[in-house]
Amino acid sequence: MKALVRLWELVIERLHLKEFLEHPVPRYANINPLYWIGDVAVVSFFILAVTGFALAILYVPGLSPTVTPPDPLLGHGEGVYHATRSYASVYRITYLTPLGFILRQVHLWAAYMMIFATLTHFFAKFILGSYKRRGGGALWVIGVFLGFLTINQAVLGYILPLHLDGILALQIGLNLFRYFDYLGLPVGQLILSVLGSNFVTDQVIKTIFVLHILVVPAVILVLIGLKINGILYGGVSPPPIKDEALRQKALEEKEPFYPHRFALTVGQVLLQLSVILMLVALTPLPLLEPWVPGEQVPAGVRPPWPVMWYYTYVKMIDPFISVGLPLVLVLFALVVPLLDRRGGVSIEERWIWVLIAIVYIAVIGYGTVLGYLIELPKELTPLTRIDIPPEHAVPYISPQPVSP
Amino acid sequence: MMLEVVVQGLQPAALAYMSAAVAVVGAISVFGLLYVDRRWASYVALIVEVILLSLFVYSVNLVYTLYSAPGFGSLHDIELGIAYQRVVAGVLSAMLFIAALVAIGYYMELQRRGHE
Repeated sequence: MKALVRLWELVIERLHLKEFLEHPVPRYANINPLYWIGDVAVVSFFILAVTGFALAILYVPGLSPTVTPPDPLLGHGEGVYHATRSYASVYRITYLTPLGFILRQVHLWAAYMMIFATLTHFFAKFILGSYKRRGGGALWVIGVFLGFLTINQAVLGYILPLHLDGILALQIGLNLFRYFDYLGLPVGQLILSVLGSNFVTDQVIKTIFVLHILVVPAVILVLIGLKINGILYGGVSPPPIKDEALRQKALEEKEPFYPHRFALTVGQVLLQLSVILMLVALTPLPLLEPWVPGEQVPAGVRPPWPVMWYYTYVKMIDPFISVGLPLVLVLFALVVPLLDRRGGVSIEERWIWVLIAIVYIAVIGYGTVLGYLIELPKELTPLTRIDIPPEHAVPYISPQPVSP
Repeated sequence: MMLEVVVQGLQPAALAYMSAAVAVVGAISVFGLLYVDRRWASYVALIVEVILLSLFVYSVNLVYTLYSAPGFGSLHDIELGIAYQRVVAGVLSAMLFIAALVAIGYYMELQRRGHE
């Protein structure tokens, strides 16, 4: 035991970790989930990276046709499905590789946990007014970008197995780019030139694969590094207390990161992994039905819950408003630190901003719940629900080549 | 001719019930002991972890046996494979949960000591 302690001390000394480990952290931020839900998102990201490495080695992208047995979790019995090489590859990983089932399920649940934690972290920081402290505005802007990238990353990953829901997610995602056509910005043209085609091809899937495993995670990693650095040197959000004396008292009550907060973080990481594995054991998610090139997505297929609210609004209200809704939400979030500058951080002093945060939660929560509860009124497919874009707009992505 | 895959070992349901029994009794014991003496809680946690580890290794072994069996690939085999892997995930989850209890218990004790 003494040898282990000596080894630990040696590692800390040689890697110059003492200063980092002993930096003081405020006690009020340790147990309160409003302060550590962001940690859950970061840990989820690293779980996703580790499982993603293994999945990336095993996954083979491609559109060439093949057949697979039905998904055992959907309970459709014996028979064969026509599918793509991508789908067959994910089927092989999930059902024909030892422990591959756990690998994919952990990746999926960790992704859902990351999105949930990211959204909760966003609302928590909105309510706490974290952007009002020195350096907080920059961290807030980085956080908004991180949230946007997280949702993007989820949608990109959802597309890769090329099941019907994945193709629906691709179409929904690309509809967002079409919105710029309304504004006269040739973003569709740019996307088309990057993808090299106006329908789903091997090149399109390879591009999505590279974005999912390399480009977006690399950007997320750099932004997370910047955020951790900012929190390390700039401190965590101050407590939302109006009384100055009480606030100072809370700020001054500190303890060293190691062993106090370190023990809690270890416990939190283990607990998080435990919850993910319990979800895998109790509620495994099926692979869903495969898509065949050229096939339209049938009615009744729904997108995953992180984008369900958007899907609901696009189907329910005027597309010009609903399609641009995520852009408006992101752009408004970016300027919040510039608008909310007066007063302190307590809820009494900035109740209007807390109300706006609640409106954000309500917009997303209402759309998500409604999407699951009701049959959406308009029978519009993802390809036809928006009015024909202006003449200068390029054709958008469709499952089959667009005939002249 | 398709070979029928037969796994000579405990059925997934039996393994799941055994693991759940160990995990629930272990977690309650460790949680209760954390309020009495953290040292004893750690000893009990260690014993529970060792039992769960043996169940984990046994389940993983069964998964590899099943997947490497000649003729593996029918829907029934895949369903059996999923069931065993769900047990593996559950056992690992229980192991991590008990380790998390001990880590958070240590933090709570540090807090108590700090206030004394």
